[in-house]
Amino acid sequence: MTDLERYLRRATLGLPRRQRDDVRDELEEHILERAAGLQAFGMSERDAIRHAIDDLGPPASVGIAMNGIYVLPQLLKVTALSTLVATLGLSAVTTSGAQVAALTQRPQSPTCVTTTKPLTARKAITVTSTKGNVTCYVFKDVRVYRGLYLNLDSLEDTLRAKGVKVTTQAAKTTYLFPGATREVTPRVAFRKGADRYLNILDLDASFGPSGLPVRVSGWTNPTVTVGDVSFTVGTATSAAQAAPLYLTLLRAAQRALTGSADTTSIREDDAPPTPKDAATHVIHVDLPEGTPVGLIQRGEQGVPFLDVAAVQKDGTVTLYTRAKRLTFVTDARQLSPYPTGGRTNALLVRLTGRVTGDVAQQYETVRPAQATSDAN
Amino acid sequence: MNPDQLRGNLDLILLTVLEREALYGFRIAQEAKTRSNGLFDFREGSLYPALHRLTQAGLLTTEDRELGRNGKPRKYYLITETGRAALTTKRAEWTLFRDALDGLS
Repeated sequence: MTDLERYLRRATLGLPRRQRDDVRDELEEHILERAAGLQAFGMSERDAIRHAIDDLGPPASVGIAMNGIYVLPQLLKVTALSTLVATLGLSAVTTSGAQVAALTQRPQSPTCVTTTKPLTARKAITVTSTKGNVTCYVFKDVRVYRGLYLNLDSLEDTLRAKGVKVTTQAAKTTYLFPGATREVTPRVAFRKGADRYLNILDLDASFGPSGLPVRVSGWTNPTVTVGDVSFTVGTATSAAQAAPLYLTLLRAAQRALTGSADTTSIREDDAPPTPKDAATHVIHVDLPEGTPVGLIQRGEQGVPFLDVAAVQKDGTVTLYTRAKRLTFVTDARQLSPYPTGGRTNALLVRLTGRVTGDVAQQYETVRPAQATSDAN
Repeated sequence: MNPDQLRGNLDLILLTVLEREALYGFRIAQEAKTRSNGLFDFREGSLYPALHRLTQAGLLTTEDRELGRNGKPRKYYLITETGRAALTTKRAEWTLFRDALDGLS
């Protein structure tokens, strides 16, 4: 199924046939016309269609609103809402309505610095403007701008539907979660057009003050839970990866375990590192599929080296380190940059997905099925 | 413009855009954005439920016209007499509200 078909199907779910065809044709025409405009600027057809779909927003929002117009008024006349929702398969619409649109890349907006002498172009940066001693630049490496950013309008629609009180006053938005002791204000990482975005790394800072536990689970399109309210980040058309968040949580666990603030990681990119840069370990951990498992190893000069990945269906997790031969330990004090008997000590932790509260509750050390691992 | 404010005024925006000429969905979105200098930068998806709601309420009516890119007739929205009357009322309410605000400042 193409992105376009998937979007159209989801945006018209639950509608009577006549209205479904009608809405479908209308949305299809909109997407094709917007895409044609984008293609004229050199975008590929596939990207243009994706872009046009993203501009329309979550398909479930359209679907729910259309159902509200065509399905619910008629049905409410005859029977109670709860039975209807079950009979009509409307629950599918409601569940997908808990999806929050997200971006995996922030806009490359320039960083400006004041220096005694204006900065000139360097290897890592492109200077975008210079005015007196103020130089603005963007990083050449687009990976700098990668991450996971939640669309706050989309999040707020979802939260409202789940009983969260969303209030906007004088450009400040606050959320009151059911059972919360305090209202919270989401941190806006950046704006793109009229849309505000929350960095997934700011979940704790944004929702922690509510007094409710905040948790994350899953790897692709992760689920975030604040107290009793849950939502999924990313949509079927734009998959979101929780890797940036898990790497941050692993860093926090590592800091608590080793006391070292500096860390390095090879997995900065989606693509696996080359064998020259890293050793690949496939480790049996016997944990449920999707569990985030991190590896901590001390590299040269003692700087901890980290990697995190999801457990696969077969109970294994694939992690990268600098060392080809590992021995797993469960005490962080045994982590040493120097091999013993040709093997380097490493420690595995399972991330619990807790984002708020005591760091000690955010991880548990894991003993793998085998005490050692040899790189593939 | 913040989303809450926008949602409340979407009906007014749509009726105003259609007051001058009949248009189809994509063009309505573009017109609303261009004529407001980009201030009404709404999620385009929210436009369609609003158009359908206004049609159901009798403020708009539809007409199939030329074939679009998907090979199907484009659905144009036209404002009805009821729609024009509603627009007049909504505009009056808006002016009243704006005057009240000016009085406060």
